[in-house]
Amino acid sequence: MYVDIQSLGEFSDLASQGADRAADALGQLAGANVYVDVTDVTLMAAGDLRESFAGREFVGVEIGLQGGVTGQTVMAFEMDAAESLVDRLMPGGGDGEFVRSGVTEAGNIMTSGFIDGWADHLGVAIDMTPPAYVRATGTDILPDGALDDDRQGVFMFESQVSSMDEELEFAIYMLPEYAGLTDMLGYDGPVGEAGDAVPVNKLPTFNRMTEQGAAAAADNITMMTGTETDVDVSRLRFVPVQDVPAELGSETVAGTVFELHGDPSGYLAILFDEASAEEVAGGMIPTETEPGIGDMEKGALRELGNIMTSGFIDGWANVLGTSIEHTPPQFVHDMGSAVMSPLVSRLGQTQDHAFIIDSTVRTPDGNVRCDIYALPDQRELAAALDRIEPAATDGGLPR
Amino acid sequence: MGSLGEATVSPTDSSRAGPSSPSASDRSTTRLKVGLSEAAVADDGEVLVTSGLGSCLGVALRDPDSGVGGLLHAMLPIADGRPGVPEKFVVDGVDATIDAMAEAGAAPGAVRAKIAGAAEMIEFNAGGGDGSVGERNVAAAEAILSKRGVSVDGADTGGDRGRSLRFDTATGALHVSYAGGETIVL
Repeated sequence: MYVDIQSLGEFSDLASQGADRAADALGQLAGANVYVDVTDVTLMAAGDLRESFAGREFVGVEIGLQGGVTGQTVMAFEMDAAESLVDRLMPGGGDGEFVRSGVTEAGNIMTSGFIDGWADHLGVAIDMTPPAYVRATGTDILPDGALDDDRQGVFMFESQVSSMDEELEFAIYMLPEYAGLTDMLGYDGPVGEAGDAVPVNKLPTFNRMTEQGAAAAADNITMMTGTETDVDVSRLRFVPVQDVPAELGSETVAGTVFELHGDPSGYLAILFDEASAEEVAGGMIPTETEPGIGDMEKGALRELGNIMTSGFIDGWANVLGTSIEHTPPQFVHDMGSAVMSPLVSRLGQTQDHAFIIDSTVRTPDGNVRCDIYALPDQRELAAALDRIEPAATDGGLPR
Repeated sequence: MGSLGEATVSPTDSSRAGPSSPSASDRSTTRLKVGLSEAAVADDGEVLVTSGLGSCLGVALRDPDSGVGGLLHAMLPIADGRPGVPEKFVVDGVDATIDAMAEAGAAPGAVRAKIAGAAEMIEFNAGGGDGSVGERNVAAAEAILSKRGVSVDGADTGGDRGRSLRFDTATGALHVSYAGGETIVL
């Protein structure tokens, strides 16, 4: 099953516009300027979604679609976020009824914005059933039967919403029924030229491969610093290029950036928050050094980045059956979003959306956190995914 | 979406300040966020903020007579057939922002500018033999501002550090801050 990248981009823009409208409506209710920082599309295996949603409580609305698009769409907030939002609108009023009406209202605005946009785009009529309020834990928030097969793909739209008043920060999730979406966007075979379409059934395999690459990178941190680490999460997202820096925010990070050459080419950034960078570098330097990130620490972070990158891209090259080389590490120490901006500027010359593969490595005590961001050229990645052997896809273990 | 000449420059334009903050006129600190590839226009003394400029360029525009100001956060020099909204590009974005300011009451001929950003934080190996993106962004800004008859009253560009901007449209002061807290005012 293939989805052409242009349609995916249009789809992502419509989701983003729907989220903007919902944020506007929420902002007017709350009397604050509310912004959608980023709306991304995560392509994941159902089993991975189950894991990531496990134990989290959600409220949302479920809407049935008929006509040009058929199926159930769920839009959800995390319960805590919905409660604090309602409490802000109506101090002391955070009880069930207000949460229910606020969530239903926001869900309706967001979903109808998205569906209307999509109906216009397709030139078809799409009918919506009235929104039904839902409250559930984990993936039970999704329509029945949505996740029967752990290896089935899931598209999740996630909008990060914040206000200039930093107390307000939450995510809105929208999960359209996979079959309805792929009926609309999908093709049985490749479309256009090589790299125009993404073979979506191979994305879960690619995700798993990235997780393995990140695990290898995490092992390297452990080996070089003596600090135990684990890969916390690994995701493949499709994001408007200009929204990539917002994913990092303005907090100061330290680490290394690499250019990748091969199939695919692109960029890799290995970034620590400042405290983590000092701790990790300290573990590699046998002597006491001045506090802060000095020349010794820079050298250590470059060396660590180099080894982590090799581990990471070797995993890719093996599964994709290509060879990928990387440049020597460039040390960076600045605001996270500023570090990302030159990378997306380069990608932005030829593409409007980007695949971003984000893995988080953490120590069990949470003292060290490292984010690995891979930004491959989208056409080269799509073409490389297409070359993955079907056997490699089927061999993915359900989790 | 956000095509040239529309009153709405980007998803974060001045209309956001309207219904959501009825008390805007007596709250001098209403802040509006400008994302990457976006611009915002303020006609009531709002403060426009944008963060995390690396190689991107921030262009702060203001007509001192009407007090209408605008802030653009552009990524690349010029569209020239590339995909994206006008505000993704310096040249196209400056045109769109000045047009939107004119609709909000600014006299385009009276607009003055301050620019900041365009650092070279990372040296790339591949491509780009004609200078870094940052350098090309500054050159593009100088060209389009000169073409529109806009004089540049202040600039803090280049170097290898990222910047965040706070543009006080009531006074025209552009606060440029670096990671770690150091701030200069243009």
